Amino acid sequence: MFDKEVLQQLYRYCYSLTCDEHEAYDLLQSAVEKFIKFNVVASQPVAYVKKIIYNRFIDDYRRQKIVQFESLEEAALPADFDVQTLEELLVNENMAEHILESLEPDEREIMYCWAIEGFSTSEIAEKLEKPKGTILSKIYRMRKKLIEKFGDNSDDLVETEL
Amino acid sequence: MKKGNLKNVMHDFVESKSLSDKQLESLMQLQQTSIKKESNVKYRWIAVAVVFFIMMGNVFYFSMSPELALEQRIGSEVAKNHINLKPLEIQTSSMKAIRGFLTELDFSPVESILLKSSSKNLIGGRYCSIQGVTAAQLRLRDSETGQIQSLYQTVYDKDVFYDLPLLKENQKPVTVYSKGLAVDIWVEKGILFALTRETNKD
Repeated sequence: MFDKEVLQQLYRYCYSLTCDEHEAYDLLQSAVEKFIKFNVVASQPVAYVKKIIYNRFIDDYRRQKIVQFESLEEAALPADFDVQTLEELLVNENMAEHILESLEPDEREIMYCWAIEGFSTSEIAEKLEKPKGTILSKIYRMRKKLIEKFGDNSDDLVETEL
Repeated sequence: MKKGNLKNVMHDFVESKSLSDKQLESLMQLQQTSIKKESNVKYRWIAVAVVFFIMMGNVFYFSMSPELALEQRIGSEVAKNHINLKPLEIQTSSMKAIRGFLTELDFSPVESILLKSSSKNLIGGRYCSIQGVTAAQLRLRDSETGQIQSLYQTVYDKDVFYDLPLLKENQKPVTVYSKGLAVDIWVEKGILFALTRETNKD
């Protein structure tokens, strides 16, 4: 049984994916129901429920939107590129919701792992069971997209050297 | 407008989101209910398992105690024959006449001490069998109630019929029920007796 603190943590994960409070709650509720219904014996129940949440979200997301297939080729990355380069971006605090909404589902999950969980690139790759190069490539694209989308908009997002 | 680095801004934004007290309670309740249901399912399975083992125990018990099952088989066979009420081969109120007619039996039909002073009168008899052993089927009429009863007699062979109540040892007849009838079974004078009777007097 998940305590209140864990439920709040899972809810924030749901919110990071859905960008909507009601959808986040529905998603969490259905995931908890599924976890209990199948009487899952998991060594890491929280991680397991997060997996259920993500899969459920992707299913719903696909139902609602046309799936965008990404190129299998990884973007050419600068040699010193890392997830920490995202920190070079300065943003207006009230832009957080818009930024999250502008991201694709897999980018939202990376954002959650990085910003909320505080994971490094390697840890994100391990958690999402994807090659580190793929994660770096996605981060690079995400950064580029954010700059393109919000960089010239009244200084909502600015590149800085930390 | 206040700015911050992307990580801190996103962190603070997501961390500011939380479930309301009502939502939290609802989720806690959901888990509690599911745990109770799970317990109920567990108890249901335990009950099924108990019933299964009881049934298996009965099967084992009866297979290891053929005499218990045999009493019921005798009762069922006797009740079935009684309900059929096949025509009598001899109609008589005399046991001596019965003995004189049913000469193919390897025993001599006798009167039971349990019926001697009763209101049951012999009206005839015919050949039959109990569990494959040749027997006499005597028909009685109760003069008080008019009830027709069948009294079966055959040789008591312990190897065939196992332990049945022996009157000489002051054992009371065993009663089994079949097809709405009661059947009293006992052994007397080396003869196995089975008497049908209606159950509404029980």
